[in-house]
Amino acid sequence: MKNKKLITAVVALATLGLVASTGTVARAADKTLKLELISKGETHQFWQAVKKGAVDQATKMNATVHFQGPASETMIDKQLEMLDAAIATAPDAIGYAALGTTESCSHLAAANKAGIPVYMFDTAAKCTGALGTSSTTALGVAYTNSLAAGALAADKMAALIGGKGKVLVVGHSQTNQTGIDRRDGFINEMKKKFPKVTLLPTQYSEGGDAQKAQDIVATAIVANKDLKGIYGTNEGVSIGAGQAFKAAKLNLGKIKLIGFDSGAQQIANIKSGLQSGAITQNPIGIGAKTVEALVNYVRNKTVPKTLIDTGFYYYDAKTITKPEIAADLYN
Amino acid sequence: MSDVLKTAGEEVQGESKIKEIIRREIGQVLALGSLVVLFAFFSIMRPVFYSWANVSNGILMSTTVTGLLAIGITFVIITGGIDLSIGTGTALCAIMVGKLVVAWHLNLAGGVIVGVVVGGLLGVVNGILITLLKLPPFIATLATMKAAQGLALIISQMRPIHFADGVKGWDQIAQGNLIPQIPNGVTILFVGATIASIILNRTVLGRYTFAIGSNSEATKLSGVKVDRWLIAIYALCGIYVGLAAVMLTSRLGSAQPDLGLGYELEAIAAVIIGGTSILGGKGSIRGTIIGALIMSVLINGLRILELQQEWQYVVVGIVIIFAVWSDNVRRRRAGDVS
Repeated sequence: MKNKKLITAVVALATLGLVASTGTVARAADKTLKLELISKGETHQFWQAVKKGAVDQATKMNATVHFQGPASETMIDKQLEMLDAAIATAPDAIGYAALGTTESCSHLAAANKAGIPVYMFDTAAKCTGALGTSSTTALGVAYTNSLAAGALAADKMAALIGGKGKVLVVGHSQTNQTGIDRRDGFINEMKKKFPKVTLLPTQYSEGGDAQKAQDIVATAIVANKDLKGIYGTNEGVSIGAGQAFKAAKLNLGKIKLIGFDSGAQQIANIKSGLQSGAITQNPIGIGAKTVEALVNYVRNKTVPKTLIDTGFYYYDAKTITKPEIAADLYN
Repeated sequence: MSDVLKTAGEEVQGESKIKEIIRREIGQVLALGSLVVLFAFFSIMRPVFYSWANVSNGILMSTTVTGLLAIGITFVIITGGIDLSIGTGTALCAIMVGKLVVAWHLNLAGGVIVGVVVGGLLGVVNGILITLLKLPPFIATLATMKAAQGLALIISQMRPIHFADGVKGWDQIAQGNLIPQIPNGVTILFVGATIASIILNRTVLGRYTFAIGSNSEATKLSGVKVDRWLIAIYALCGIYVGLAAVMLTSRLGSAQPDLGLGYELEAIAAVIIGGTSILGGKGSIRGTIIGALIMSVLINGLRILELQQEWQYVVVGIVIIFAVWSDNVRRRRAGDVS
């Protein structure tokens, strides 16, 4: 054994010397892999956390990540241009978060034709056929089960308001799949389990505009004196709702507020009691799992799972410091 | 309205003077009428609409940011120009205010000054692009709109800046009550409008704003340094953008790098509904405020009636078409070429 190790070490050293002297890479498996990750955006801190997870994982696995996304989550065409440009640079693999869930199908097929493996993250494209090695779309997707996350928010809201009363859902998008799932998961769970809860017609603050959300909630408070709870489907909406409570000088906790994700202001609001709690996803995990799946596939031909659920948590002022939750929160 | 027109009005005597005023100001009279009708309609449909809580927090406060932007851009539109950079400019000013207030521990006044200076500088850049480089206002401000959007993201490192307890009383700028029952944001909006109205109607700057919009060449030939005045007008618009940004950060308790895109269109809609001609030469601050209020009353009212949001957009679109169309009809009847 000892001898074998010694021999390996000598051979390795010799190889290293050879590499150093000739300047060529010894084995394909050891070369630094180049990954292109096309996200839905860069501006929200959620995407920054996904990026961090991806970059850190890539560094561990001897790969580099070029991470980019459009300025707004409504710019499907801009994102598809980025995807096409990424395919054109012939990277070792591509990670893709689908904005245009059907529009991207032909573009992904082009990547498949070019022999570039694709793994999706956050949101999967909806193309024909199942995901996997024989798919022309992608090997799989690392995602948060937003329907289940919305349902958890509904359970928590029902518990906070004693299972009855008026609740308003303020969405951040009527067309974005994540936004739709967070909304429907909440609404379906409420209708199924808590028939005494009255849901007001859902309002939308386009793109999660915090100021619009504030105006929506300010109006809802006035129009519904008996409003018990508000559910906001992203960070911007949660911030706006909290500010509307402040402006209306409501007593802390008079109307319960459950939001999504984190960010400095939302965390401060949860700590102060202005907001009851929020659902956090595991953005770092989404980025890391995507890179891990792609690198292992390219280097070792390890076929990744088609669905990697990276999980989510509900947190409030009491549980905010728990290690498994704190790791997913960002300022 | 311009002083030129005012003197013309004064020459008309007696009761016909009132008729003359109504005829001359019919755009505003119509707008004000629409506002009253809308208000009455929503009040009858749901009486909670006219409660002071809704009027102050629901309607007036939601008008503050777009209202200030609309006041600023009224000057630019009267010159026959346009400023598309006011929306993302708001984001840039907000981020600068947030960064500097937190980094330099500025007090309230310091923060407001930062907003106004950054906004003013953005306006000066627009003015220089339009006058010295002779770029059409639409193109020049489209470029600065993009640049401001990028800079806001770069400077903020794509993170919202949370004011927290860093600045004592920052939230009071919008939400305090210097006058009992009236949020400060609303007071600032109306003081800002009054000052703008005085500038537009009683100063040289205002007179040249109308003159440039009516006939830029003739104004130049009569010895006015049009380029300099245009830079000043865009700078003034920028100052109102800075004020709007201060208001926005105060309302939200934070500066959001991606907030503001699209606000320019809401401001332009308010100005047009208020009877200011998109072709320049005509307009008023009073009209703009009425236009901005029509937009907020409409959106707030539709929310109170719990109309589906998709239909809210459609209704707002129809109101804009109707407002501009009725203004056109009125002008054609009055034999106005524009």
